[in-house]
Parts: sequence; C-alpha cells; structure tokens
Amino acid sequence: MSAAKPLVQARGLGRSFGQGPGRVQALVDLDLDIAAGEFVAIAGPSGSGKTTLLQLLGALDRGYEGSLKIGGRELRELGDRQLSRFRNSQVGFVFQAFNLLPALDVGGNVTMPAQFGVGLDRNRASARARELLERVGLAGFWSKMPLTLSGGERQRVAIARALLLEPPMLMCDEPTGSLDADSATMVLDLFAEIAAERGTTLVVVTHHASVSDRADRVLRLSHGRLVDSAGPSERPADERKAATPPADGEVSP
Amino acid sequence: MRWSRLLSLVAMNLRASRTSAVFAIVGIAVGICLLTFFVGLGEGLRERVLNRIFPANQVEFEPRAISLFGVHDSVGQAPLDDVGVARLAALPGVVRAWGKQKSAFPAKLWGGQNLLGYDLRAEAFLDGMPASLLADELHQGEAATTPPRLPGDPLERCDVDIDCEAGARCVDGACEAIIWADRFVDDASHLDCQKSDECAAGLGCFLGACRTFCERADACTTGRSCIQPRCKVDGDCPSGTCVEGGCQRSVCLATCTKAGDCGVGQDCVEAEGVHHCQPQRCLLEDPADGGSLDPDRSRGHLARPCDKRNGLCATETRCPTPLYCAADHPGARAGRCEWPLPTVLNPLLLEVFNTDMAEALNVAPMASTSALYGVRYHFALGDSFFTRDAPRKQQRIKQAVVVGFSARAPELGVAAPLAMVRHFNARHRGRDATAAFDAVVVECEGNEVVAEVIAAAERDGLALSRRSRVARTFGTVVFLVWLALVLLALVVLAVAAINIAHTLVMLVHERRREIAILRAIGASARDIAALVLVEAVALGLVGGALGWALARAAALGVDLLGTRLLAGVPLVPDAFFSFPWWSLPLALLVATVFCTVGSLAPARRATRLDPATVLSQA
Repeated sequence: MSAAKPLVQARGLGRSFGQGPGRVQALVDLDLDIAAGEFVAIAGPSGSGKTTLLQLLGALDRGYEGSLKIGGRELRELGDRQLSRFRNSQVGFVFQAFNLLPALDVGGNVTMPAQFGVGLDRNRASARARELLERVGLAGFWSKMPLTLSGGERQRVAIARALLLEPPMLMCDEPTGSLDADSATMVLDLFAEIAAERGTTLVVVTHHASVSDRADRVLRLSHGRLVDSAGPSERPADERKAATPPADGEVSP
Repeated sequence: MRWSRLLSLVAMNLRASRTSAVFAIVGIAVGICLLTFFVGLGEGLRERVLNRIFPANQVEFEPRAISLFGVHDSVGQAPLDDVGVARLAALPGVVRAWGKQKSAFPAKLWGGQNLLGYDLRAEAFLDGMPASLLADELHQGEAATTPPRLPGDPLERCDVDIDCEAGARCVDGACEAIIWADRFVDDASHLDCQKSDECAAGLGCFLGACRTFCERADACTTGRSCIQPRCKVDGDCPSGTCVEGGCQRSVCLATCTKAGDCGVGQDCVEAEGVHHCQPQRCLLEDPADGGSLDPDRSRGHLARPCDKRNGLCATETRCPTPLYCAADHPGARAGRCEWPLPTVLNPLLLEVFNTDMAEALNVAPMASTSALYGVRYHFALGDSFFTRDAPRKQQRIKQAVVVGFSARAPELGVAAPLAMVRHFNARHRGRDATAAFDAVVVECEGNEVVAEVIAAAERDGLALSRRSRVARTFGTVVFLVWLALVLLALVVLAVAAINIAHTLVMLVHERRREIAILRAIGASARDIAALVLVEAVALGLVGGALGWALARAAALGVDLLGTRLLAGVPLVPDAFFSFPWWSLPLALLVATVFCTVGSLAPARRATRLDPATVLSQA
C-alpha cells in the first residue's frame, strides 16, 4: 500500500435506493481512505454493493449519505457542470460491457473525452489517441468500428479512451469479466504498467483472484458493509485460491 | 462541447436512427409544405388578383354623394381640390395622394385596323391621372418593350432629334429609342389655346399654349424660362391682369435661339419679343387624313406662310416621325405636328376582349398586353355616338398611343395625363370644372394604417370609391380564407411537433446507454440537452427545406394545371402563387421553432437520465 496521503476519503458513506418498505440499503456506514497511486480491488458477492461504491467513487452518483471527499472536495457540493468536468479530467472509466459508442469508429471513441470540459485541441487529442492505441496494441485500428472488434480489443479501446486525458483515477468495473484468460492477462498487465508509470490510482471491482492478487489492497464488501480491507500479504493463500472467476458477462450490481 | 463535435455527433445519431428521422422529417415537411403553399397562394392572390383591382396599401376616395329624388350631388364638407388633396397627403401614415379627374365631355375612339383588320369603335371615357401615380406600371411597360442597351453598344451621334432615325430621339448627343412611357407627363404646354379660359384652372394661355405660372425660373421644368409677358390691356395677359406694360404673373416658356434648341416637330419662332419653341404647322392633303393611321397621310406636310392673308402652303417635308399632323378641328386641313396622346389601359380590357369579344369578332385572342404597347388609335374629343356633339370648332381629332397597362386605369375607358383631361374639360365645361378632382388616390405607408386613413378621410367628407370598396371586401375575404388555411397548416405543424417529441422521446430511450456513457466521460447535462435540441433543429431544417421545395413544386404544378384548365376565364391570373424572398427563411424558422418546442421535453428527459443507473443495467 502506498504511504501517500488519502486521495479518497469516505466517512459514514451510505447509499440507499427507493423509499418506504421497498427501500434498499446498498452501502452502509462505510469508512474508507484510498491513497493516490494505490491499486485497490473491491471484491464481494453479487449484490454486496461493489458497483455502487465504484460509481460513488467515480462521481457518477452523488446521492449518498455521509461524506465522500475526493482530492479534498465533497462531491455532493459540486454542481452538474463541475461534476461533469471532474469526471472528465479526474476519472477514467472502464466497464465490463466496454460501453463504446457503436456508431463511432475507434478513433472517435478514444478522442471523445477531449470534446468535453477543458478538453484537448483536435490535433493533440488525435496524436495522444494514436499513441495510446499503439500502447494498447491497437495501432492501425483507428478507423475500425467497435462491432468488428473482439472483446479484448474493445476493452483495450475503452482503456485507451479512459486514459486519454491522463486522469489521476481509473475506475474499472469488472474489466476482465468479459474477456478470455489471455486477454484478461494482457489487460491486467496494462493496468500494472500504467499504474507504475503514471502513479494512477486504480480502483477495480472484480471477482477474479488474478486481479485482486495484483492489488495493493482488497476491500471486501458484504451486504453493503466493508467487512475487510487487507493487503495481499495479509490474505490467507487458501482464500486467494478459493476465489473463482465469474461467468463471462456477469455484471456486479 | 465543440460545435464541430456536436454536429458530428448529431449526424452520427441521425444516421443511426435514420428511419425515425425520416418519419419525423416527413411530418415537418408536410406541415411546412402546407404553410408555404398557403403563404404563396395568399401572396399570389393579393399580388396577382387583389392588386389588379387595387393595390392593398392604396385607397381611392370620392366626395361623398347622395341620391335623393333622382338628384345626385356631392355632400363633401370641402371641395376635393389641390388643397383637399394636400390635406389628405398630410394625414399620418399617408405617403402620397393623387387627384384624378374624369373627362366631362363626349368622346369616342376607334382603332385596331392594324391588329384586327378593321377598326373597333367605342364611346371613350377618360380618367386623367398624374404620371407619378402610374410610374410603376409605366416603367414595367417600358422594361417589357424596350430592349436593354448593353454597355458599349454603338450609338448614332446627333445634334437634334431630326438627325436620328424614325422612332428615335436625340439625347445628350446620341440617338436613343423613344420610350413611349416617357411621353406620359403632366405637361400642358403642348395643349393649344386661344384664351386662358380654355386652359385648366391654375394655367394661363400665352403664345397659343397653356402655360404654368411662375415667380422664378427654378419654378419651371428644365429647359424653360420664367418670362413676364408684355401687355397693353388685361386681356393680353394669361393671368388676366396687366400692370404698367407687364403681366402681373410670369409664365414658364421653352425659350430658344435656334430650331435645334427645341424638340422634334418644333420650330424656334419669335413672337411678343420672345424666341420660343412652337409646334410646326402642317397641312393635311385631305381633311379625312386626320383620322388615318397611314404613316404618310397622317403626317401631312409641313406648312409655310404663303400669301398676304397668312395662308399656309404645303412643303415637301412631312411632320417628323413619330409625330402626326393634328388638324385644328375636324374637317380642317391645317394643324400642328403633335406627339400622339399617351394613354394607359386597364389589363382587364384585354381579358374581356379575349374572352368575350374575340370569338364574336372572329379574331384571334391577344397573347399578352405587350402586343399592344405602342399601338395607335384615334380619339374624337367632343364627338359622341350617344349624346349631343360639341360644336365642330370645339371638337378635336387626336391620335393616341398605348404606353402602358395599369389596374388603376378605368375598366371601360383609358387613363390619360391629368393635364390633358383637365385641358379638354376646361374647353368643354369651362375652367371652373377643372378645379375639383373626381377622386383622390391615397398611398399609405402600410396596410395597417389604411383603416385610420379611411376614418380620417371620411371625417373630411370623403367616401371610399366603388373600386376601393370592392377591393377591400375582396381583400378581407381573401385574408380570412388565407388565415384559415395558414391556421390549418399550423395545426399540421403542431401535430408534426408532437410527432417529433414522440420520436425524440423514443430515441432518447433507445440511446440512454450512449447518453450515460457520454455523461461518464464528461458530458454535462447541458451538452446532452444541446445534442437533443440540435438534432431537433437539424430535423426541422431538413424538413423545412424539403417542405418548402415541395410547396414550390406543388405550386408550379397547380399553376400549370390552372392555366390549362381555366384558359379563357376572365380575371384568371397567369400564376396563382407568389413566393416572396422571405418564404424560405420563414419555412426554416417555423420548422425549427416547432421542432425545438417539440424537443424540449425529450431534452429534459435526456438530461435527467441517471448514468449510474443506466450503466448498472446489462
């Protein structure tokens, strides 16, 4: 675990959906610190609140209770424009379902974040996107349409898009969940390289032991509560072996 | 978000949802097509039908009259003279006012031999009108009949008119074709007289022609001087008052030093100590030639004094073209070289001729009014088919020429320069009859002030003329029908806007994942709203342009069909539609506004999409 000061600080963090008898408490009274440059895996059974926590940390959702500060700023206090700009410049998302825009080619998808917020000018965005595509092994894919790519290729395009504006945080929701073993390894290697190179904070929701094994810390959730926050050396080996990868396409709630 | 990216995203979305987009565009295009079609129809009816009766921003007033026990008399509070016309012109919202005077003498006309093979004959009714009232129509006629002169065209050089060929005159040292419309002027100086009583009110007779009074030379038209006539007694003066050997009032006179200073058909002569331009005297070979259109016979021969009794003898030279020898009175051989009288006809005359008369007379209909420009015919002023003729000495046979067409001209008569009609009214009815106008045409700044002008004129003892009443009634009916049709088009557009709203709601639902992705990578709610709104505007612009083009095509089809099916029906215009320049901007604007309004709810819905919830869904 990095000894850097906390980038993310959550105190009494909670999130509920619905009202009255149908109200569901997805996260309950969660205290959490994540340091800049840390690689944190979030694990837990389906319905434990992993994706909800990731979306809160990525500023996609601000309907929380308690306090959530990122970079010292309370997210709830940001207006829509500030929040959008925050997501644009501070957070990169990688989803299990890739979430590429199907009508845009690879180049268009990767350069899309540059169109919002402060952005990059067209030439710089284009040059940076080509550089990133080369880095993720997709040089020459610029004009291809997402639907013609394999799952691994699409995920690498999504990673290139997430990195375009060099955000200090990368939020990944089951990034290897839809990939075969080789593609998953390639993606994980990529994350490791990026984290090492840029000091990017990685928060990854995963069921895969192969992913959590590489993390500085694993946050384990159960029924919306943080039940464990351990580094790899603190976790028993048999527990690590017991972790089995989920079926392809499964999405954490 | 940058505009370029916004537009490319919109294009991307439209491509991806082309079926929905096509249906939305069709809805808007149908609404805009109807709107443009009806706007074009309304403008066409107003311009091509209504304005043929009377221009919408003009009204014609007459002194209010009553008919009681067979007595028809004016009950106006003030006479409709120059002062009355000036009072109307000074009303708020009035641009100009023109007095009109009808002929108050019997007259008949004949002509058409060259066109029809024989002469048509009819009783003649003249409306005297100021040239400026007919300026637009005269200019249109001029444009229709005068070939444009191209820069660099070689021009024949000349010093005087007679250096030029027939049908041309000398202007600034170069010959140029005569523009007949230019002859329609309010100038009484070519109207002959023996005494001032024969001239219209406000004019005086001097040196054989009616002259305008002046104080200084700048009160006269270009080329004329302000001359004080010498006198011994009051009767010598055009104004009727002689003061110490000079007339009390001066007159405008075209002075000269040589013949070349005067216009075609005029000599420079000395009389009363003044060198001035005077029409050349001429002699007809036969008095009957006064009613001929033969180019040689009608021009007679120039005359010179040849005996002690100041008799005239013919020379070999004829009156110069395009002038003719106007006999001093019917039966006389002696006369003056004159320009034919310029006259303007109502285009309805041609339609009535084509639809009601051509077949009966076994002649071919005339294709258009342009065939009649420059056509000559004759007037016998003071002579009548129906009523008692004026004394022969008062009668005149005048050659006339068609110089234009105007809806303001009387339907069954001709419009002639006001000065000429007033002159002959003075000769036949006395000069007091020329002081008051029969009607006044008022041009308003816009249609919106017409009602106020009518109210003010009615307070002044005037009433709308029959033609204005018909025009206003017809205009109101046309407007109401047009308004109903436009409302119908707006209803169709409203339905199209609802369709757009529904389509966009569906599209927003279909694209909720794309919207959530855009939100996740930094798009603000404003960016998402802009995407939806710009997409709606794009649909509106395409639909608007398409609808406008469809309307133009439909109008063209209706015009072609209408002219075929309604050929020969009187009053049917050549085209029913008129599309003003603003019809396309209007179509695009209305389409855009309706689409934007229709997209507000979907845009709001798109901005309220919760990206976290959408992205959590598989």
